[in-house]
Amino acid sequence: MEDDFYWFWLCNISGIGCMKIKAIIGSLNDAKTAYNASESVLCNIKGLHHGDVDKIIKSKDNVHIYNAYVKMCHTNVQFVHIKNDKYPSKLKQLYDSPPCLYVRGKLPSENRVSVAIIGARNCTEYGRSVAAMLGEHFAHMGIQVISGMAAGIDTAGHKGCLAGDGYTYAVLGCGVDICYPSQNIELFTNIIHNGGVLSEYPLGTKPISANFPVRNRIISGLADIVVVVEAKKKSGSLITVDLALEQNKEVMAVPGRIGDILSEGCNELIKQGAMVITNPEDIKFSSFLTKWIKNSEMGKTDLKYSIKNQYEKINVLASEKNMLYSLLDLCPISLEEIVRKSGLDIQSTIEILLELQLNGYIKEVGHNRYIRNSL
Amino acid sequence: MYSEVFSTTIFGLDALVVSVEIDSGDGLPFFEMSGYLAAQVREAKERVRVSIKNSGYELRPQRILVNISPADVKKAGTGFDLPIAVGILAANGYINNDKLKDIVIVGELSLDGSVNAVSGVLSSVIAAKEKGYSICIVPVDNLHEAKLIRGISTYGVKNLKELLSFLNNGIFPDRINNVVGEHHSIFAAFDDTYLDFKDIQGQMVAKRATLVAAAGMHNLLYVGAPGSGKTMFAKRISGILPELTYEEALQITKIYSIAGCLSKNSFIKKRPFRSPHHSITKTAFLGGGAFPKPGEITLASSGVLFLDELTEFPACILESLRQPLEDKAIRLVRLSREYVYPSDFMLVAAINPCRCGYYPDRKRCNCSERDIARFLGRISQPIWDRFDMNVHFETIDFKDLSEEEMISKKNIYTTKHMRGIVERVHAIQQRRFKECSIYFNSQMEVSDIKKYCILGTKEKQLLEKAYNKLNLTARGYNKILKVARTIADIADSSEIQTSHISEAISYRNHLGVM
Repeated sequence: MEDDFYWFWLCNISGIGCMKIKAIIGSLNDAKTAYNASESVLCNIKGLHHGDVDKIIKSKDNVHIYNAYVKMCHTNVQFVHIKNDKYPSKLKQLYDSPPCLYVRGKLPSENRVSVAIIGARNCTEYGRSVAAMLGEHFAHMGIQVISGMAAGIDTAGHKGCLAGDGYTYAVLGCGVDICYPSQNIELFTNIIHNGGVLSEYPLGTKPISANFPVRNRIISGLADIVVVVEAKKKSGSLITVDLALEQNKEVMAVPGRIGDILSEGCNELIKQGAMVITNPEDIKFSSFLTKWIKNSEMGKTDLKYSIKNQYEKINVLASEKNMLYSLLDLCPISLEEIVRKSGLDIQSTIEILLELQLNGYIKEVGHNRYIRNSL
Repeated sequence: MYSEVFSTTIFGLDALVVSVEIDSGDGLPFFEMSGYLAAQVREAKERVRVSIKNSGYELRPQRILVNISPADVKKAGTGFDLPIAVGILAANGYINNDKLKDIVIVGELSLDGSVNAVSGVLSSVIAAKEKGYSICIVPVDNLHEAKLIRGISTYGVKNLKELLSFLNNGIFPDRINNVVGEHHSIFAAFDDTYLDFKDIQGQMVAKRATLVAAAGMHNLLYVGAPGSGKTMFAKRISGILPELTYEEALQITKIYSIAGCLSKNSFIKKRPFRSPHHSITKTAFLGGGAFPKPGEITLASSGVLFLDELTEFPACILESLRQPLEDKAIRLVRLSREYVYPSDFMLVAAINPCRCGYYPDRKRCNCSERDIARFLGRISQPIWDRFDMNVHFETIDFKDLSEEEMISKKNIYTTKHMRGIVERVHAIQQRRFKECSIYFNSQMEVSDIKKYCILGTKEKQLLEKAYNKLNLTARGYNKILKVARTIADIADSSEIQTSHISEAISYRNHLGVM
């Protein structure tokens, strides 16, 4: 406990970021030693300026840090510093690993595969449904889903994973006591119960835009594989991809149609050599998973997913239903278009669509727009 | 000398026959008017004096007192000029007093003695007829309007001189309209062509929804991108409602006459289509003023009130719609009296799905989920609840625009065909609600729904499944039943079947980002 405070102190000195903390720990090995270190010792540390040393010395008298620590102890937020046993080993390998994490719920399990689902905030229904579908199937496979709880793809990925009774983890760009975006409050609480919400920022940190690209390195750092669902040519998701590649993680992309602005980023990634993912099963063919499956003792893997033939159940549909079903895909199609393409009259089309919907084959997204529920 | 002339004053949607009493006597020259008069009536004083002079009649200096009784009713409008002038002339011996006993006169005077049109003539003639007067004199510009009433002789006058020659000698210039015409032939002469649905290509789903909405008089909400045809549709809805009867048309014309919206020699034979701009004031919308004039909701009565860009309307205007929609009438309470105007219209509104209008087309729309929620959040839940049906418009492909076969193929969505269906369904509803105080499926209360929307086991199962799976609310459930009843009526089915319920479900409110 006492140790925790020293770490908390070290991580909350204003002007001392993760690189400087890394330098301090590199030479002094511990936060407590740093606290007790004299000015001259600190001055000798490579990477610290005089000003920094000044700040460190002064911060020892700072009541606010102590108060914040006491306040945090009264909440259910866990404080995990880099020397803590719970600290994810994957993050230690980062060049700029966060010195500490604030966690609500749990941290991702080290024994399971983690996949990050990332993508645009202003996504299409197609992206949303693909992300949700991937999340759900990954959950069935026993894969943990990591994302950033932003609107759009992130939210859909989390929700899909929760729908599949899986564990999902959200890395925030604000304090873990703040739900951003606020309409995700239900998701936020669900994630805490079925996984965890974590952040490198102290409690009460506002969601300022500068924080978000920085936290992306944690998302990719925690993941073994990064799946990009929808991204524009210039987007935050591609920053995460760059970080993931720097961290030597595998990147997979969901292909899109040529000309779709929101798929340009993904298609570009594929062009550059990213693996294509068109089916949740594809994740198994990633080199990480093939290795992982081989390494884990036969039959004792957490990858418990059995191949289900999605097409099997469709064949039992009556011919008209089958025809309407075959008109649909993951891009929402309007009722108007379905009527036109099928040649059926409006009333019977609506009736069949409702039946398909109630039986879980298709979904209505937005008003009178339908997509398939799965591939 | 004393004389008495009868005229009318507008009182809400009706007119009241009042008597204009004039007394002239010797003494210092003096002109006074009494009888709870509004400013326009008081101004008549100078107008009357000058127009009498300019018509060539000489008045000696005298004391003139005009009283309009009953004195406890506020009188407004400019229709008193003519009766006052006639009364003064009668008091001076230019007209025989006995001739005025059976005549009601309305009209505004110009300084040169000519007679100008006034508003509310239809109500005035009706009031004169009901009170048993046999002749009604109106400005010539209002003659068409006046001629709509049977059982009373109506004459249109051009100027004061003409009126005097008629009163004294019974001679009237030979004006075709002065002959008591065949009222129905006048009625038939007016324009009753509507814009036609066959002009619109594609959008079959929206056409079907519009047909259902009109058949059950359900309030309808159009959602769609800019330029997808929402306004085009709305403009055509009044055309598929049943044809107006003579009495209905008369009632509408009366309202328009009082509101002063009637152009010269016209008659409202088409169902109204009102589309107020969203910058409208609350008074213009609901009706109002010290002497309440009908507002847009009353002018749209028996027709369609279309609110384009619903999200742009101020909240207070939308909220004020709730009570008139419920009661089908608006009560405007003033200190002196309560005025009740009808507001029995079909509400049609149009919105864009988001601020830029193109969601969910992500190629064009970059609105965030929050932007969309905020945009749609401008409309309160109670207002959403007023719409039984929602329909989404597709953006039209070029293929659709150029497709000629749509028209050549037997297109059932023409205004004529649709009106036939709507008329039939309205008749079914009339029979159904013969003993109730409601007229249409959309007006059914929970108890009526229980009585008229009886479901079989299969239908119940479907609804139960949909209720749970689609997260419906109790109110949404009732709306679905009401719409399903209308769809069943269109199919001429006495029972509601699963296909009817399925269709009704597809019209539920399902907006925003899911």
